[in-house]
Amino acid sequence: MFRLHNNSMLKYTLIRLKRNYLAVVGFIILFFLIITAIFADKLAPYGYAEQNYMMIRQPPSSTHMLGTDEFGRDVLSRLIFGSRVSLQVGLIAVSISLIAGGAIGAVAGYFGGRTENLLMRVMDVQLAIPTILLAIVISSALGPGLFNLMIAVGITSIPRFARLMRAAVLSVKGMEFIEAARAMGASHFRIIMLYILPNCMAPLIVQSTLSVANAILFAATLSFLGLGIQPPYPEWGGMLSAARPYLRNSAYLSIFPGLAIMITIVALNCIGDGLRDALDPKQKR
Amino acid sequence: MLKYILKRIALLVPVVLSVMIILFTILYFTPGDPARIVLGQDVTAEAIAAFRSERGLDDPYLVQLGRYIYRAVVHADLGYSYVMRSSVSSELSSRIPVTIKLAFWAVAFSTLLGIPLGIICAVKQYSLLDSVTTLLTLLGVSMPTFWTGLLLILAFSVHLGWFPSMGFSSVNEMVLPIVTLSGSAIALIARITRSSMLEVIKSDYIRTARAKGQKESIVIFRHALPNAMIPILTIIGMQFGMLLGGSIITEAVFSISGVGRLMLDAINMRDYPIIQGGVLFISIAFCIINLVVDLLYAFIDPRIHVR
Repeated sequence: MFRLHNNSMLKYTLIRLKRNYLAVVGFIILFFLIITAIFADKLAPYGYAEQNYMMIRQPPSSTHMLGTDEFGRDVLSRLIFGSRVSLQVGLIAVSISLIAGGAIGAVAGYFGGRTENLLMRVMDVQLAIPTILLAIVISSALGPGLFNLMIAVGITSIPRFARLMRAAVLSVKGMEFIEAARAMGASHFRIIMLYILPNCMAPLIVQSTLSVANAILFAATLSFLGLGIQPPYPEWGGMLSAARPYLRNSAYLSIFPGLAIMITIVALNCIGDGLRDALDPKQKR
Repeated sequence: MLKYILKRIALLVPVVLSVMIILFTILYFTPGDPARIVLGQDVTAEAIAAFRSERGLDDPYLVQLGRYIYRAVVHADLGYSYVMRSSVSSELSSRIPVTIKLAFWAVAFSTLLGIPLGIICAVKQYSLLDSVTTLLTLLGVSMPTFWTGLLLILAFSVHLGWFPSMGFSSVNEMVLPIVTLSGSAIALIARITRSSMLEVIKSDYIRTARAKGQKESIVIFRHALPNAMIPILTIIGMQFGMLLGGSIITEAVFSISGVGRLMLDAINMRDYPIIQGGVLFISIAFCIINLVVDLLYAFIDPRIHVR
C-alpha cells in the first residue's frame, strides 16, 4: 500500500514539475552541467593547467573559444574543469548540512524538552553570526583546500536544516501512526527513520536544492577572497579573482566565469522554486 | 513596553557571550603560533617563550577564554592586533562608521527600490512588467556580489568613466558600492513584497474596500500595504544583517577601508584578535537589528500584543 501511494505522489509531482517551464529549463541546464563535469577531460579542448606563453591573454578566437588567461591557459577548458569543483562543493557541503542539521532537528523535535531547548539555542547562536562571515572564519581556520571549503560551507547552513527538520517532525509527531509504531515497540531510531523522515521529505528536498545554489555561491565567494581552492586548479570564483588586474584590457576574463556561476545558480533556483510549487501546491509563495 | 524591550536586551547577553565563546574557540584551535606571526620566523626560542608568557598564551584554554571575555565585557578591550600593534577596539572604531554607512545606504536603496517594484508587480500581476521584473529578480539573487561589482566597474568606470572604481568618501564614489551591495537585496525585497501583497489583495476586506468605491491608490497603500508589511519588514531586517556580512566582499572589490577590508587583511596576516573583533561587532549589530525589527512589528501591526 505504502509503495503504491509513494509512486503516485512522485508521479503527480513530476506532472506538476513538467508544467513549470522555468523548472524544466533549470533541469536541462543542470543535466548539461553534470555531463560537463563528468566528462570534463574529454570535453575540454586543452588541459586546465596547460600554459602557453605564446598565447597570453588572447581574446576569444577560433582556437580558444573563450580566450586565454594571463598564463596562456584556455578559459573554456578551465571553466569546464571548474564545473567539477562547483558541483562537488555544492553536493557535499549540502550533504554535510543536511545530515548534521537533519539529525539535530530530528532529535530536538522528537525528544523535545531540555534536549530540544539546548540544541535549538545552539542553533540560534550560530544564526547570530552572518553566514558568509562564519564561512570565512571557519575556512580561514581550516586553511585552503577543496575538502576544507566543503566543511566550511556545509557548517554554515546546519541551523537552517535543523529548524526545518524540527518543524517538520513536530507536525507529524502527534499523529496516530507514530503512536501505533510506538505501541508496536519500534525503537526511537526506527520511528524517526522509517515513519517520521518520509513525511518530512518535501521541505527538505526544496531546502536542499536551494542550499546547493547557496553553497556554490559561497564557495565562489570564498575562492574570490583567496580562501578556497588554490591555483592552478580552476574554480570559477578564483578565476574571477585572478582576472581582476586585467579588467581594463581583458574584460572577457571577468565575464565568462561569472556567467558560469550565474547560469548554475539560476538553474538551481528555478528547480528549487519549481519543486516547492510541485511538492506543496497548497503553499504558494 | 519598556519592560519588554529591557527583557529582550537582556536576552541578547547570552547570545553575544556564546558568539564570543564560539569565535574564540574556533580561532584558539587554529594551527599557527601567534608568537611566530608577530615576531616572524627567525627569532630565538627564548623570545618566543617570553612573548607567549607575557601575553598569557601558555595558560589553559579556559583561563584564556575567561580572560578574553572578562576584558571584553569589563574594559571593552578586545585585545591587541598582532600585526598593527594597536588595540582592536581602536582599529575597529575607526572602520565601523564606513561599514555602517555602506550597509545603511544599501538597505535604504534596496528598500526604496524593492518595495515599489514589488507593489507594481503585484498590482499588475502577469503583465509584461511583472514578467520582466520576475526574471530580473531571479538573476539578481543568482549573481555573486563580487561579480556584480566587477561588471559595474567594467561598465561605469572603465567604459563610461562616470564613477570611480575605488574609495567611499565622496557621493560619486559611493554609487557603485551601494548598487553592488544592494543587488540581491533589491531582488529579494521585491519578491517578498510581490507575494505578500498578492496574498493580501486577494482577501475579502480588499474586495469590500473596492466594492464601496474606494480609490484604487488608497486601497493599495492604506488598506493592503500595512497588512503586507510584516514579511517585508522581516526580510529587510534579515537583509541588513546579510549586507553587513556582504560588505566584506563589496569592500574588497572597491578597496573601501571598512571593517570588512580590515578583517580580510587580518585573515591574510593571521591576525586573529582583529578577526574575532570584527565578527563580534557584525554579529552584535545583526542581533540589535533583529531586535529592532521585532519591536517594529508591534508598531506596524497592533494585533501583535507585546507580552
